Amino acid sequence: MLASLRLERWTAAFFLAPAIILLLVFRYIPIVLGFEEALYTNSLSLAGGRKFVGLANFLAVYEDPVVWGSFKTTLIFSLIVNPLQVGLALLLAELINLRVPGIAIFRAIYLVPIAISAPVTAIAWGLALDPNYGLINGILRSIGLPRQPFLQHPDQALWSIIGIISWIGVPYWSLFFLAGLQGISKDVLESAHVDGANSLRTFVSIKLPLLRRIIAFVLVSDTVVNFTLFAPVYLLTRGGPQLSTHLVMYEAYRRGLVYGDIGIASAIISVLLIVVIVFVAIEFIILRPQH
Amino acid sequence: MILRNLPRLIILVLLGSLLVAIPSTGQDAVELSWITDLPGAEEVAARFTEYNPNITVRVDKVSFREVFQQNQIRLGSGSPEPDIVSVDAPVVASYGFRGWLLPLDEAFSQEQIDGWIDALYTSSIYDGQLLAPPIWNSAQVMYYNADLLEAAGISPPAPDERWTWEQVTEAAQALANDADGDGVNDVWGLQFGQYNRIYQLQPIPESLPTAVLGDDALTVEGIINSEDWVKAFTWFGDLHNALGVSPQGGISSGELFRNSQLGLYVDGGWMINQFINNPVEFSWGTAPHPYWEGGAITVPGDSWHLGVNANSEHPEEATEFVKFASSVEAGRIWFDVWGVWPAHEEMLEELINDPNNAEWPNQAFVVAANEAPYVTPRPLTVGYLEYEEILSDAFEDIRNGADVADALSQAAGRIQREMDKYRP
Repeated sequence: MLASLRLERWTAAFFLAPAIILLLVFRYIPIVLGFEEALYTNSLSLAGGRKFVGLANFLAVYEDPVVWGSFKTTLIFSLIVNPLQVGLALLLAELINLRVPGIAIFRAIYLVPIAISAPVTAIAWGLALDPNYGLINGILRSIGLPRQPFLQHPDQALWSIIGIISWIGVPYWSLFFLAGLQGISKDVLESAHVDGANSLRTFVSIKLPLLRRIIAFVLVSDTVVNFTLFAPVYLLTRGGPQLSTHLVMYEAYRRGLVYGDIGIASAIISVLLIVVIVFVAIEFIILRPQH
Repeated sequence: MILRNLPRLIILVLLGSLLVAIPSTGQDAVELSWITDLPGAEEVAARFTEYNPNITVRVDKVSFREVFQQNQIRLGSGSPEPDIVSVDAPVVASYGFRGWLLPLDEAFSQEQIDGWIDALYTSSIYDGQLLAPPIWNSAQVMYYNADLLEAAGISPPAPDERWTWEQVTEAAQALANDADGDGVNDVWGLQFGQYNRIYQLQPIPESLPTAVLGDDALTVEGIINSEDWVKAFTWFGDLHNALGVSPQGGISSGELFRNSQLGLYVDGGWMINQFINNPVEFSWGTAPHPYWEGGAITVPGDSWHLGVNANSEHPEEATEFVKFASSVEAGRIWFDVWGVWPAHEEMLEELINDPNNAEWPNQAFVVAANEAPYVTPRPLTVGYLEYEEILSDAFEDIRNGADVADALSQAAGRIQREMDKYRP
């Protein structure tokens, strides 16, 4: 009895080992190294020289209005994009789950955005949103609406980026919700129907509570993905116009890879990591399973 | 007995010869690595290997932006690769400051150094040491679509006629039109090739004339947000907004010009080859780079330079390659492949006096080459990468209609904060 339990533990450890080793090598060790790098500067030294500066990089980050601005923009962006994507993904999943004629075709095409790589999507949308030659402005004009600057205007650029990433994000996350919805027992739904619950009531009182774990997973994953968003900003707006899309990852990229100041870049990423952990913790607390 | 062992003997001899052969090639053959975006790099590398059969050069082609990133990551981490470093003229100081490049003074004779165009040699030095010799040179010219100009009732400039920006503005306004009334110009008046980079836009303030950097090479506050700069970039902003003669957004200026949708187009001499080899369907020409009436004539130019990685495992071979790539012979390859003119005085003369270049369209090369005396290098500062990147933000904002004084002041503050880090 005891021996078989021990064997079971060893087996579990054996099967978990590859994942744990990969996590260590590709996640945890780099995080520790990143924190360490944030304590050094190489921007003012000559080749090979690295100087320990303690918390000076963090202080510089604290005092820099552009970095602060990028954190503020990222927070606003996250507060909009995460609930938006999770909400729309839920609705989309509910739609896909319907049994109506033609749904099979819709189920096939709504996944297309996921199959296209994010940079390609960003570039295609960038062309479509061009103020002069873009497809979207052509459509707006053909239905008599005025041209929009989209990525060229500080009031519209962040929304345009949100739209572009949601084009991929919403169908992607809806897959998880769809799996969840299909896992809900038909008996439960039927008894609700018999009790006279309409579809809105069924959704709110039965489906949502049963999807709680999946919502928590999707929200947390989406939060992490969006806090570290980089490609569309790099490819389309370079943080502009007027820093309106200057997200933290882009600022960190500039500091580290354009200006060559790895210490400051590491400090920015370290602070971002802490912010993400705080956000994720709050989300877990709000959405923790109730038994 | 011998016969029975013959197969074994053959194998032994073969193995033995392999053992002898491997170390001998291993000692001599050297592979150098080089990260670049330049057309013609493979041709120059191949010619070098013809002369030095034991040295091959692995050319890693990446995009323009990526050359800088790769350099930052690899050289910054002390990697021995790439052996040969592509150094854009204005970052010689930045790389020199960080100690990434091997000083090459001893590898070049005074005669070779004297052969280069002075401004290019100046860009090659940091702290009194020759770090990265120039491999070619460039100059910006103004391309025009003669058919569109004629339709707008304007006679094109002669090949030696330098228009003022005032003339250019007037012509651009006459050129721009929206005949089909869809709210987007069918023909645009004027656009720059690199419409958001200081490389291309530097002459707009500089021609007024006004400074683009403080004397200590680390001050921008009060300079790039001076009244003169605001005046210069108010004009630039108006082109894209109030006057509506230049397009906003990311549409390629070269494509617009090729499609007969752009009348005046300021870009590098390297476009000449493209318009000759892949002809456009209208009559076109080149004229000298414009300037402000009563102001200074200054033309964007300079070139890529090559240096040797201070941590290279093959510094001698890499130095040999840099010597070759910056030689007159390689200069001819660079010119043949993509029409950038040489870094050597002697070849420049040759190009200007070549009878083949007296006729149109090859005459366009002469228009570009004649700009050599007016080429002004980009600001030489260790903080150039920050300077360029943040100014690009400001230029984009100004194109999109932001308040010019605000945009420049904000940029000055941001760049100054970065520059102050380099103060001793």
